[in-house]
Amino acid sequence: MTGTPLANEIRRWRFERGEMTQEALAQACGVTRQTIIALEAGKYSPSLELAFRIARAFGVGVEEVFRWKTE
Amino acid sequence: MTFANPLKSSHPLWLIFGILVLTAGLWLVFWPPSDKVALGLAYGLGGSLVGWGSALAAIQLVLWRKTGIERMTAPAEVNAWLMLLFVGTITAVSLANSSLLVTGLSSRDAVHLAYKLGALVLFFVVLTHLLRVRREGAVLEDERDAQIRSRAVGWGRGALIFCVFGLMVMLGLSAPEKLEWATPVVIASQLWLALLCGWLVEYAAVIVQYWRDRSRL
Repeated sequence: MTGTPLANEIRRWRFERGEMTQEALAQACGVTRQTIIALEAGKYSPSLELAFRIARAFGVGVEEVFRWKTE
Repeated sequence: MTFANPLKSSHPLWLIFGILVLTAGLWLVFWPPSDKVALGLAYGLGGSLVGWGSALAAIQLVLWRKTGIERMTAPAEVNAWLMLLFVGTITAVSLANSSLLVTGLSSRDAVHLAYKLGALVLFFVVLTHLLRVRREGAVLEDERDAQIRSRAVGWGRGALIFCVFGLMVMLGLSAPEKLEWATPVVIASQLWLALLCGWLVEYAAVIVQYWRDRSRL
């Protein structure tokens, strides 16, 4: 899996949500912890559905968590 | 030193004991004594030990706390490792008994082979059930796992097509007098090995993709 064109702020949002653990975020989104690790490292592009689930878990909009790297 | 009930609490010695019983059972099933009288006893006792050992080890592992490996790896990756080991063992047993596959499955040795494969299947069923119980409520496969599996299935299918195509070319282009060995039983066993090869490549591809992902993280 190569690097993705999407950058994300998952790590920062976890920090801002009281050091939410990767495990807790994974459970909230219905994925495995390894997927959250891959997302944070920018090694995996989530589906639109998962992107919305992650944003919802943080209580923010998708564009506040994910952005196109060229922006 | 006292140990609590092995059905209610875990203890390393109970786990080791279960694994030892299981190993002894597998040993008796896979390497039975050559003496005909002892053979039946060995299979009976071996089967029982496999059953009891698997059950005890399984209960202990279910009660065990989460290990570092479980936190580090995705359930789908662990499953792929198990399947690779299982299919690898079936392949090894099939190759080790290739002479039996050539002569046909009606001989007495075929019953022994069936015992061995039966013990393997029993062991695998217990292990997968144990993992299912242990992972109750956890996400077993998400979209990334599905994506990895989908790519690996492509590799497995490619390997299967390669093997079947190779067999087809060999049978189709060889002179009839050179194909005396190609009895229906032999061709069936070759197709069986081709199927195993496809599965081996598929699970190996899953493992490689997870490993590659992790090494880049």
